[in-house]
Amino acid sequence: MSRSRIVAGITLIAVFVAAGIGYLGWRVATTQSAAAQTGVQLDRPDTMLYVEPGTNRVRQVRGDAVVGTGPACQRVYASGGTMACLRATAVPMASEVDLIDTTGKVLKTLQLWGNPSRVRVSPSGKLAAWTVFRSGDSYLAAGAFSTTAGIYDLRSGTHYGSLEDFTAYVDGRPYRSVDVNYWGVTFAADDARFYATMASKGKTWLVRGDLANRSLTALRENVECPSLSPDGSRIAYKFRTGKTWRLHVLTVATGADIALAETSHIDDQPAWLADDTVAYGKQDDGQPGVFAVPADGSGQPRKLVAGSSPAAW
Amino acid sequence: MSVLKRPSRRTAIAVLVTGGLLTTVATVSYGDDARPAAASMQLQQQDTIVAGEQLQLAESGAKTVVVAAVAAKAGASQQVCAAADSRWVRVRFKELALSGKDTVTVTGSRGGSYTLKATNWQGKAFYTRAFQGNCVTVKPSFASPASNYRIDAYQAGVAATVTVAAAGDICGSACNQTRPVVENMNPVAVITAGDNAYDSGTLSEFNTKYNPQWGVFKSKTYPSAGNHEYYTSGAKGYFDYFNGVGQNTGRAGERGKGYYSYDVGDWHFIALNSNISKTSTSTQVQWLRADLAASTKPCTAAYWHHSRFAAGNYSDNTSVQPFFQALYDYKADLVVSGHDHNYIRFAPSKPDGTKDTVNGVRQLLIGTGGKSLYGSGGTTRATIEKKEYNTFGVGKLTLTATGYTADFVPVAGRTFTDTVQGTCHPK
Repeated sequence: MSRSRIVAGITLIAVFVAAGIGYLGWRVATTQSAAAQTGVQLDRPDTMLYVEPGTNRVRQVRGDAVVGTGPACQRVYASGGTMACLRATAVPMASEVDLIDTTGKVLKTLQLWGNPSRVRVSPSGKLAAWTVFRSGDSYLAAGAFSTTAGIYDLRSGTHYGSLEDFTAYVDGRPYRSVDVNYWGVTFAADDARFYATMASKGKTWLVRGDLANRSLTALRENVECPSLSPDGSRIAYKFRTGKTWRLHVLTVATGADIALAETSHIDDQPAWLADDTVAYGKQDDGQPGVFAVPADGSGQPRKLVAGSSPAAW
Repeated sequence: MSVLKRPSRRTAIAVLVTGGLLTTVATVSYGDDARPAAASMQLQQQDTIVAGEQLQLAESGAKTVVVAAVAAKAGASQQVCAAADSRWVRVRFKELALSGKDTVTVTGSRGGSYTLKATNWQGKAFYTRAFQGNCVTVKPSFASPASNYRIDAYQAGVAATVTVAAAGDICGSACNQTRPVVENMNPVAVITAGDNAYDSGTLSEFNTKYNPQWGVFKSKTYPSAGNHEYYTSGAKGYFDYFNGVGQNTGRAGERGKGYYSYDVGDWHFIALNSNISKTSTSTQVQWLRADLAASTKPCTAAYWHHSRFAAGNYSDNTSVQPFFQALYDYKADLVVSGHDHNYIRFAPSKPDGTKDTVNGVRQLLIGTGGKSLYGSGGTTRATIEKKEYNTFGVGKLTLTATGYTADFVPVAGRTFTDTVQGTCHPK
């Protein structure tokens, strides 16, 4: 973990130098931010981010204690020294995503068409992905919604505005249909591959994406909102049964698939708190709550905080 | 044919052999150091439509210069010269009174000629097309003593292309993404194919939704109105925004009409209003035909909201066929439209949709300005050459005196592009 943080730090310095801001400016900003001790600090150990209900403020907690407060977002995620904040704007059906460094500086803002749905950052912090709803607000209503999922590469500035522009393959053949939707990107550690959900004609697929080739390969049906485990071996996702979803974990190498102990309907892209624990949002007595459950199907869900959009790294 | 011995720039008198007759040429020939003070006054580029003048937008770097009025002298040719490094000159006729079959022929010192007739005068000052070289010779052929003309300005320049940005169905929650696309084009004009501000085209919606985004181009925007503008009675918000609150005329044309024309480089541009009467006998279509007849430009483009041809949420719309028929009859080249929220490049067509590669008018449906995107489904009789249902973007028209390149430029991060070239029909 600490090694990857150092690498990310070096990368961030390189980004600043490239941007003409310079190392000194970065150090000053860091010092000022650290002095305040109220902002989100991604190098604080053993912490989790989430979005507080009502205010939509990003909170950083260690256990029950709030140790930092960030910007207002509908969805937040952080990894590798980069925080991504996806928020609705004043214009209906419009959103923006801020990509923010360890000092709180916004590195990039992208304007999006649609309402906030999902956001992710790659383990290195170099890639960020988002999903927005272009209509409706539920992935359950097949055909009654459309989504846009896109990716931004902070290293090269490459903007992959929509996975619709990638070539998708199902059973080895190019798949084209005007009704294709993509959502729920999760990144592999190599900053080259990612996973996402593809939907068309009432079916959903887990697809593996390749940024360099701008391609997507369907791997398996009925895997929505995938989330790759820190060790890269498993995918937590929501498995659809009728009109509800249940959290499952799929082992990529073997295809072994288990249902987690959370039996409630979950409409979220799960987030890994550690290699053995998955966090997610669910309604709790009519209020949003962040819960965690063991990743091996054992145990019971436990509530962490009132809120949504958990993220740990 | 006359044989023209090109006069030197600083010579006041030159010799012209015309049909065997020797005539004097009163030149208005201004070298850099021999220019009358009044003649060297350079005008600021106009950007708004003013009563009594046909707006002429010029190529980048072109100069607009006022000259001491060059009035007709019986039987005499006259010359107007611009700076020696000019590659082309177009002159402005402040007055053109031609009786019967009387004509005035304008010829460039390095090529190009056009003979003006009585129909070319629409009661307002206008610029001719550009002629090659830095001088033009103006040669009247008058039988009637009542015929007259007066030239009071010219445009001259080097650059031969102008860029126009075009889209409809704009603001919209994604017009913040199309705005940078237009900015990158740095166009001389922005034309809109209607539905500029949703949902009802109120002044408030224009001020709060359109103005923060595409409003940055307002001083070079030549809009047309869509059905959403007419959700406010008489498109009051639209006219109030573009013309000024309560102002009758302005950059959206006359209130209640909303159709108007102007020139961009060597292209004649016509904004039409598909939300009001548009039958073949309507005031608007009669105006359109007269306007087309008067234009001296080698190329013609028109735009309005409701697409004649569509294949998305909408299908073909015959109510605007009289527009298309008039344009086809006058050998127009391009139509830009919206209403369906997608991009379709159609093959050059007859008004009924039949492909016509000789005289057909090409419709570019560019309803991708930032409101939303509509999928396929509608049916068209016209020939689709390229279509895209999933990408916001703006049309980029790169125009010359002989043709166009039309590109679709997507919003940042998206990959669909399109490009097509065309040659203007002989008119």
